[in-house]
Amino acid sequence: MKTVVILVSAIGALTTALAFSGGFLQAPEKSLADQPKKESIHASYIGYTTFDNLIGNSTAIVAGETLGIKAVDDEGNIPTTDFDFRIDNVIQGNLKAGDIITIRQTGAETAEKIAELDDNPLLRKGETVLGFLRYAEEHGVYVFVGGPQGRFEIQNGLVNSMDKVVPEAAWVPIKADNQTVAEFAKVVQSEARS
Amino acid sequence: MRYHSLVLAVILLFATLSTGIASLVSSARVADAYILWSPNETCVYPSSTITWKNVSLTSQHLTDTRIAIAFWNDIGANFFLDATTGTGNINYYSVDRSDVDWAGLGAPPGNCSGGVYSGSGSATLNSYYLGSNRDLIQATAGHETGHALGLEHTQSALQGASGRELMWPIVGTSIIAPTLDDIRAVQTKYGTRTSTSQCNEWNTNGDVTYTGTCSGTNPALPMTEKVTTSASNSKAVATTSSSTTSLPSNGAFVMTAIVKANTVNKFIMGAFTNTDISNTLNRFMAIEMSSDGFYLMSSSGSGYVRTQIHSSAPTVGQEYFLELVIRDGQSSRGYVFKNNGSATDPPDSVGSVATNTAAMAWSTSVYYGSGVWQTSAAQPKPDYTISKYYNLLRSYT
Repeated sequence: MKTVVILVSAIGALTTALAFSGGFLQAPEKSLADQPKKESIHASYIGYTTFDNLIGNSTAIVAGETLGIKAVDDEGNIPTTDFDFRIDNVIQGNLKAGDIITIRQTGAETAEKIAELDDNPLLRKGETVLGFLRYAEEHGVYVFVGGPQGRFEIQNGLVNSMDKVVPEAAWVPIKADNQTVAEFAKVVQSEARS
Repeated sequence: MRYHSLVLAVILLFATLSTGIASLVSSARVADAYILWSPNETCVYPSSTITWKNVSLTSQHLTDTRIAIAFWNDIGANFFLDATTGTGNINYYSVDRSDVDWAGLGAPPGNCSGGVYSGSGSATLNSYYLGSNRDLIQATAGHETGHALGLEHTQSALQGASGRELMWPIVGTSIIAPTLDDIRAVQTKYGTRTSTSQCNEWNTNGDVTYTGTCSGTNPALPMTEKVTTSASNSKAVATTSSSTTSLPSNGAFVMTAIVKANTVNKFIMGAFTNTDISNTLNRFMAIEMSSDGFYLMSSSGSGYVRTQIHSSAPTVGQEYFLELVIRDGQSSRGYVFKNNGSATDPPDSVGSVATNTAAMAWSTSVYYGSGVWQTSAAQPKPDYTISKYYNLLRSYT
């Protein structure tokens, strides 16, 4: 039994070491020369300085999870990425929990380059957000109202505005600071009624 | 057998946990360091003449982009944006896209090496959000041009300021030209103009072109000119040595001045259609600093109107940066800032931006100048320096 315990511990330690070093679990890290080139693009936005503004320009206000990339368009000078997004909570709008929608963002990551807005980075698989979304009917996609202004991160069940996520979004007018989804939803619904 | 199963289960558990933890660590987003202006954009274009090309601008966007570009050319940085039909350092586009969340998009060239850009930058205007609002189009075109020049967004909110820069991420209709912090940023990046022998011209296409001389048929204001005047008479207007310009339809320019406040006198800077400002036929738009505050003044009939920028009297001894934006056929703007601040500390804006809705036609000769209104020649005058292209990185005495 003692031998088994020692053996298991050794294997466990080895496994952990290999995982963190990216051994057999991940491909070897790329050298600097091989890493995708970062291209900076910057946007300017119409301001949505009150909840009223955000709500009034939203087709749907929902919380959910990013499932992954659906499509990338990096032709031309406006790269875009479409994400599959699963709705978990509906604060306003005709969507329902369980629906999967497409959210489009400006920016794209390919093997050669990453073009991304510094104040509204591309969603990542597994990322949970609360979004004020507008439906662009002719394209069949949703976009965040005002970019980072309509995007709120959910981590550990708490809602934060994008200024808490990237300092480049410090300018967003509507702030949220560690509010539960329920608390935030209550504020939004109260503003929507008034 | 039970022991073997247990061992296998534990190994699998370790493997899963390790992979999960490693994955979390590698995907954690590292926040960039706090930025202001352009510390991440360390390059400039290879030549001080930066060509720009209309690739797909709508007719309206082209008209207003020309104005926005003229403003960047007017503020004393050591570059000149020059229209071309060939290869552009900066390419301009119009789109009408409901599937994006921005009003404008801008980027410097993708290649930056050895302090010099190669390739082309871009500026894109989105009609879906801009509509036909000319102030908004000009502000957005100016903002995206700033990005194409390598400026990033100002982060003045972090210092409690309220975003009175063209490079503030939200575009609106009050800040339509570079203001003090934008000017400092671009002068820091590109250096300041020192030559007094370079002129702009508005050519027949309506573009401002760099001619290198001041002898063309439509000479605009010289690109660099510092005027220090000691005019002391009541209602005197000191004009510069090259005091006239004619603007085509839809032309525009910016004037700036640094004025050290004095409680006694009134300082005025503006554009006039006649050097005799008491001439009732004179048309003028001016910015005024006086003992009862700051104003945007414009002629109205045989008199004038004053639109308040800020109601408080200037602090004696404080330097103020005054900016007057003149546009043919459109409203004017007056901006006032305290001339303080540094590369990491934005200047304080003073009061609110004034908009004078009088839209004057400036297509006849326009004089520009400054003066001091005094009731008595014996009274002390404010120290001031007027320059259409002011070097804000050093003081004129």
